[in-house]
Amino acid sequence: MNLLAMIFTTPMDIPITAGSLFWALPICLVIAMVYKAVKLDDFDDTKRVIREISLLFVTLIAFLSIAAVALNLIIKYVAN
Amino acid sequence: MEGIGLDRKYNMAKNTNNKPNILIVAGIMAWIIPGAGHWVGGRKKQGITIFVGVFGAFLLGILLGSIEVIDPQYHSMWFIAQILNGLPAVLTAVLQDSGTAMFAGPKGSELGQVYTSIAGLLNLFCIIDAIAPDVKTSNEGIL
Repeated sequence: MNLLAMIFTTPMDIPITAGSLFWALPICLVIAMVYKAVKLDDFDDTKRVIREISLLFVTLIAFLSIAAVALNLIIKYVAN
Repeated sequence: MEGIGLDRKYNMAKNTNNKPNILIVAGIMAWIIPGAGHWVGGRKKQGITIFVGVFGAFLLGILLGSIEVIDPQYHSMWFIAQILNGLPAVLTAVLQDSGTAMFAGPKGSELGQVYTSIAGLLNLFCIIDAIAPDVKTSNEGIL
């Protein structure tokens, strides 16, 4: 019981490294899932639902990566 | 708006005149328990998906940043988005106010705030869909 209470009352120590960017993956997956749950009328075709969610998930990650590269370039060449 | 694929069919009023009460109940249920509005409206698979997504993101946010991330007193702007998670957010806010949470490093807390707030805003999207299920864009599927 004490351990359970500790899990919910102590923040995780997440170092700011390149690896911490992977914390964007779960939230992108959730956004893709919920958006498609609202958007698609026919949810019986499981294969199609999974394909649509995967496609949106990959698109979100791709555009996040493009934004990251663009911001990095701006900092490297414009700001300095 | 047809040219950019946003040809909306606003036939909600026509279809919902006969069942306004169920939509109000669906909206309230959707706020209290994420996904319950869709379940009540007969879209059970969507309801389960929304519950897993929204509640999963909320729970992950709490695990990352502790129950302290739900703080109506000192983080009121975040709380506006977080309270859209419904009952889980209300219960967490009550626990937080009771002084059970302890302050610690902010790294996990910031991520937890983002996760719980995005979960709440996604649930707002679902609440609107539960209340007005017939308002859809015509370009369904493929993004």
